[in-house]
Amino acid sequence: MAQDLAITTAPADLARLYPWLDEAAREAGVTEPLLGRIHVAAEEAVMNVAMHGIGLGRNEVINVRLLRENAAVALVVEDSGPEFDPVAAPEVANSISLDGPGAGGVGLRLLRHYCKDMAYHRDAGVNRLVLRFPL
Amino acid sequence: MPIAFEELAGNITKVVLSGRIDIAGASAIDMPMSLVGGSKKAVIVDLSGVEFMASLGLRSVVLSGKAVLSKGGRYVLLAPQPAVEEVITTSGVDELFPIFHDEASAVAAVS
Repeated sequence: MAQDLAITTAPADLARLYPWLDEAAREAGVTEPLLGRIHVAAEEAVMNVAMHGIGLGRNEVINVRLLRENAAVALVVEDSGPEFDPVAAPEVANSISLDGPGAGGVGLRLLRHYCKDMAYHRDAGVNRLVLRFPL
Repeated sequence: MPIAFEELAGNITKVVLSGRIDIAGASAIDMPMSLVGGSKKAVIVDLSGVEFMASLGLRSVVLSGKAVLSKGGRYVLLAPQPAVEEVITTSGVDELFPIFHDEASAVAAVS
């Protein structure tokens, strides 16, 4: 059974991600500490689209789906922003630099640590990122 | 508010973060953390009351800390809960801003 969420990149709308995820995860039988790990990965996946893809405060929609598979739970994030494949993105250093820009790739490091099974596909202008978490 | 401040002896500022530093939480701390980064030189960020923090909250902490370090100041993290500490160490942020688990050690590190 799948649970779906459609949100724009308006900050108030993006904030709906967390309570929705709590409810969808409960329906899928996910409990702590896995739920906390999914929260970290989900925030990064969705905010990456919102901040670096579509752009904050836009009316374009990010579709998020959580579904239970046999021995895993899958989080699917779809958007129509610019193509970006976090699976194929270059490796980032394991530490941040005082001289480097911003927070220095922190988000991508977190995403790769908290989800070991990521798949990306772009079709007909839609980015589709699937994050799988073993139960 | 998920952010409060305490001025300690020796011109040390303790920033106390609490609750969920998610999208709403990060939005609430961004400006005050930026002000801390621009105006303080000895900072302890108390994370003991933070229940959740991922890349958004971490970004706010990192940018503030980098501003302090870039002007020769000191900036350390205090007592994160295990799940938050895992986010910090996974990201490598602790290599720039060390973690202490007791306040006395944190105070000594920024003094």
